Amino acid sequence: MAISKILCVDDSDTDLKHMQQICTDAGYVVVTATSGKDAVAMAKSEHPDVVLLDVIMPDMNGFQACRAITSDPSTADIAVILVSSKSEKTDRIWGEEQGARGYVTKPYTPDQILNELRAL
Amino acid sequence: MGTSPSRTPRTRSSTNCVRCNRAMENQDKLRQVDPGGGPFVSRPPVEALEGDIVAPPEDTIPAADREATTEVERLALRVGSLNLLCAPEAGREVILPPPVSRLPHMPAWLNGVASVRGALVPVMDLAAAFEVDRADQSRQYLLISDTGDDAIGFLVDGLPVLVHLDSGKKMEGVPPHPAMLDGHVRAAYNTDGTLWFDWDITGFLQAVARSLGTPEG
Repeated sequence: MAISKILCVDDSDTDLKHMQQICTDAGYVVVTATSGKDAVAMAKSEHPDVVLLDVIMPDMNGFQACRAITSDPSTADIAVILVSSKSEKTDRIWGEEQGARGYVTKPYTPDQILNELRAL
Repeated sequence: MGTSPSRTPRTRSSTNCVRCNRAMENQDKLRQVDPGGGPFVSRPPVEALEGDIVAPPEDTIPAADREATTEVERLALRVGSLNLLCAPEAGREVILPPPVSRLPHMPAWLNGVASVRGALVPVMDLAAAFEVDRADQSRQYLLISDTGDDAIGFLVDGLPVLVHLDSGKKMEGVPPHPAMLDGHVRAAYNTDGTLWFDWDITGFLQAVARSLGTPEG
């Protein structure tokens, strides 16, 4: 899968900047959002190739945003990778149920993120 | 079966869901046997026995029946022998059941409150609420529904999964169900002998809130 644009989503500024830096350094065009609702809106307006999506966020969490993106025909082709400190197997399975194509557990290394992107 | 007028086939696009496509193929096969292909038309018995089966013109079929083969997506939960369906959006997340602090003077089905990342979430034991036995040894999970002050956790057996149902499997009427579900079952589905109740969680929780707000005896 050819990837050029990535939407990074996290409600923590620190985590968002870290995620953004990894993707920028790897040569991807990066856009950012800080909430689940913004992520869904930006997926429609920016149409990135991939969304790196934090799970634990207030209001609409990453699981819900993932489902909203992957179940909408206009954004269903966007690959969603969940990024979370939730590390139970249950979380991965639930993420897959919501349409996620990858899952990275925090804290992560740049290689873990890039390997997930390459695996798409 | 006698002759029947030709009928414009319904146009349906195939989906990515293997089960749904298979269901649609099966319905097409059934349609070859019964050119009327449903919906069922009520006719006087004598006419029905003596006459040919004639499908009604497409434009006389109620819209609801014309849509009879649409796909329904639901979140499927299991509570003992009870199979429940709810809106996919009803599930915010699923976690392993955290420790629960009991609350005094609460019904047996309200286990208490649990801390989910610092937020207090009431935990409801659906098996106790619906008076069904947890017969198998399935692992229990807590399905968190809604958010903030409205968040509630439901203890369920096994991990909830998204399912796609053929709306043609919807039953007429609702079979007997647990008393606490009364008025909160939108529909029932029978898929290969498995009975599913489409559960109206919002209405159910409103009723629960009313019942807890009423001082007991």
